[in-house]
Amino acid sequence: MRWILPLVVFILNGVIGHLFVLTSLPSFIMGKAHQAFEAEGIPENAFVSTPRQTPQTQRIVRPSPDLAYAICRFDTTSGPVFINAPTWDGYGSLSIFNSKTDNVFVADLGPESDFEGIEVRRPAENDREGALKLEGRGIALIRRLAPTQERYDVAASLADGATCGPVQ
Amino acid sequence: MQVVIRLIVAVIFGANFGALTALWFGGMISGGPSIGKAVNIDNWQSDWSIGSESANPYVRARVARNGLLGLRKEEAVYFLKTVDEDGEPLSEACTYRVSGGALPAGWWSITLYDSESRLPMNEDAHLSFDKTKAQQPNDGNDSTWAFQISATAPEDGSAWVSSRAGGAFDLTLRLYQPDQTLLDDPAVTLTPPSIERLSCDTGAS
Repeated sequence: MRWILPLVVFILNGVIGHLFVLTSLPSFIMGKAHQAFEAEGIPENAFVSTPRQTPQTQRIVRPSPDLAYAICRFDTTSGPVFINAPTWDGYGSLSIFNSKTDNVFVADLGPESDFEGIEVRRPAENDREGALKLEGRGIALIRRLAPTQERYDVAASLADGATCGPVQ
Repeated sequence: MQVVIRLIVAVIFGANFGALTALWFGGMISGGPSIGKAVNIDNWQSDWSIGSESANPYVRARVARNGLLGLRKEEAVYFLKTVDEDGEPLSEACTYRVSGGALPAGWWSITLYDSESRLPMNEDAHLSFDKTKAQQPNDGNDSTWAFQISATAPEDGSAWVSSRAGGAFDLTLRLYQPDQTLLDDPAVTLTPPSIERLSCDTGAS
């Protein structure tokens, strides 16, 4: 009998510890990703092209060496953010991830795309038609098919034409 | 007093046990489960909930650890394979022939990663094979293709992905802008690439 109560406490704390760690992992890893990007000079509210993905330049797990990436860190805490990017003559996409790593939005950037940008707002703010609701920090990621150095250079130059910042 | 000590020990060990099992099931500890296996076609494994808000906590944690910034299935699906057609683990010590046909997606690629989910630390610049390499120059047809995986380049100059410094590696098949039929019925729609082991430096081929 004297071990029943400790056993119950062990199981209860095991379940609580398990669920706490499990549900905290994505936000923890996403927070680390934000820190890593910041440390590499990727500021908030601007798209920055990452170096061509090679074993020597990779910073996130399982990068695709065939793609040119551009990343923007943003935060909706201080107001809505507008995100847009030029189209591409091969495979291209613009995706947005929340602080739990969920891919909450994807737009096609291919040659036939009519994407004209997306406004991102806090859920607590007034609704606006077509706006994406996202609380706090997020990451916008552009992928463009660029399997050669020549194509990568062209794709990387398009980061300057992309928008990611407070709604003017 | 003994009761209190037992309870304190139970709290500490319980919380630590729970945390460790979460790290293992979340794929944080080497040897833990990989990204979801809900879809399994010839040992090419995937989970349609990757990137989705509907993903369960285990898949979500494994994706955060092994596939951060993965896209949801409407934009891309990811298949992982760690063994050859005989069920043997993929190894840098062996040479493989990977072959296949047209795949149900706008664009696709096959990339080699080491056991830490990283591109292998070599400077061979042959890290992946994709649809643009599979397409015939004259008509863009990608209905039949093949490439070799090995630690050194094939002497005949054929298509190659380097496994040098890959150790016990795996392959990730990415299918971007997948056909709706693939999402609806993957087992019927997808004929996945085959991975044939040709030889090994040690042991039987």
